[in-house]
Amino acid sequence: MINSVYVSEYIKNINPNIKAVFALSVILSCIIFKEPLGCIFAMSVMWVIIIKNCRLSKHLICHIVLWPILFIALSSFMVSFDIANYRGEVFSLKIINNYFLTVNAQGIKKAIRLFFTSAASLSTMYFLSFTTPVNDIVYVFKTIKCPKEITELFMLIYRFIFIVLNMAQSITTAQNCRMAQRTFKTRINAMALMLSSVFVLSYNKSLFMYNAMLSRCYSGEIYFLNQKYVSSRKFVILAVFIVFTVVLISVLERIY
Amino acid sequence: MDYIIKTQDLNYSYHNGQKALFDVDIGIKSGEKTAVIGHNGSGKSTLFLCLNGINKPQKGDVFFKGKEIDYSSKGLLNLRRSVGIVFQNPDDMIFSSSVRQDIAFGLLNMGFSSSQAEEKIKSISKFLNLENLLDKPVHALSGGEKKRVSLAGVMVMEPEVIILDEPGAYLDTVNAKTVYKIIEGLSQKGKTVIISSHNMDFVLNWADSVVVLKDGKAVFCGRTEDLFLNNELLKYACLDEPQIIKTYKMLINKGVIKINSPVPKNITDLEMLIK
Repeated sequence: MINSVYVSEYIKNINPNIKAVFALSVILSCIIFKEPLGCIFAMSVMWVIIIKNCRLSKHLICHIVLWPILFIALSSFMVSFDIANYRGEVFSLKIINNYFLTVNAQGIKKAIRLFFTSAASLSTMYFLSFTTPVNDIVYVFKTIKCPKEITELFMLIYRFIFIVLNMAQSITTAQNCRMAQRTFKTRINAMALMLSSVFVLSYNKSLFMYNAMLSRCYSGEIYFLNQKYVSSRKFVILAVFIVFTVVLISVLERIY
Repeated sequence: MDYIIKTQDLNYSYHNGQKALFDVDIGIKSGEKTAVIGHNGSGKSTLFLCLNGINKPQKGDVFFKGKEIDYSSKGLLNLRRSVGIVFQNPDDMIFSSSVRQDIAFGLLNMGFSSSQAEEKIKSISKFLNLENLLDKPVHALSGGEKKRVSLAGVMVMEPEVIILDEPGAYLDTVNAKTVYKIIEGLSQKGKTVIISSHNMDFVLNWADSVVVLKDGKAVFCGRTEDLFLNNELLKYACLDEPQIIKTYKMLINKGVIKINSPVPKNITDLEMLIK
């Protein structure tokens, strides 16, 4: 879905190394300081860049934001709980003997920090995913001299995700046509059959794919096209400014 | 005779011991359009993999331009530069993240630089009408687009022989027509084209020569017309008679056309014959 989104030529052609360094700096600043205001700023800036440069439908935004945010909120909420042998400041529930399930102010603060840090990191990753196609990520891997085995694996895994998903979807549809969803037992049985079939089919698929690679002169190494990118000074200045502002807001928040 | 590809007593068995090809003797002339036909499991795809050097026969030989295939890695690379193969399912052919990268795969393996590869990609994408798809991720393509991309990936390497395993499979009539048009274009460029097909009307109309496989054996290798006039062989190989041939025979029986009239390949030929 993300790959079919229109992205402006300007941001698409910017050197992926710059975009990756920018995204990594923002994520690191958020993780190091964990200050909610800094994270909110980072998150807002990222979404402004995404919405300004990518043609996203409201439906897609809801789809890609809602579930991860819900997951992060739930996980952060769980972090605020603690098990202790004393009563909590905000909430306590006796479990066994002198032990309580507690919620303290410190725990809530920790949960809020975790939520905003994760949400900001997620938004930054979305920025990278929308503006940097997989080929460009491969370019980044090549620049940082990542072992070629990892780069090749990354590319093949990326392709296989879609192949396996398609297979699983087709098998599930075929099973549903034959009432696989009738009872809980048939559902579990169908899922087990689907998983084993997908495993065998993807193995066969990999053999076919290997043959196809051999037939096109593959000799043990996958070569990648060298793309031409733009090193936009305007974008670099903007990136430095954003990272600096995130750090500044976080430092000020920590001080005051 | 001057064959670009020739097999002699070709035998191939899979690792599980299942025999796929038995003493296959075929010859394909340079620049000729050859169709390999036979029912499912008759060994067409296995034969194609032998011709590309992917399957190494346990017995017998494959000759390319009169020379026995050299199965050393260098020899195989040289063979695969000259003999390209397009698989039946385009999903088996396409593995890169973008169309551009996938088309470049073979070229970069052949030692072309990125800029040289870009040039060639530009021209092939223009020829196959893929210009707007070059930066698209491969999983976002439709079936017809995937087929054209898989064709482009092989055609861009400019092999002398192009093997296409059921090029019309998985395609609707419009996309199949486009692919057949591209294949016709290849023949006109002087390439040796070998395809497998279950569409007998297409085979009659398109192919100069036919190889018929039955249970791993080559039961016929010769002119297309000779095959379709041989009722016994068609029956033995479980092949359908093309509509044109049925009509041609019916018209002979009714005395509308002479017994020794040339065999029509398509409806236009038949119309001319009647006139």
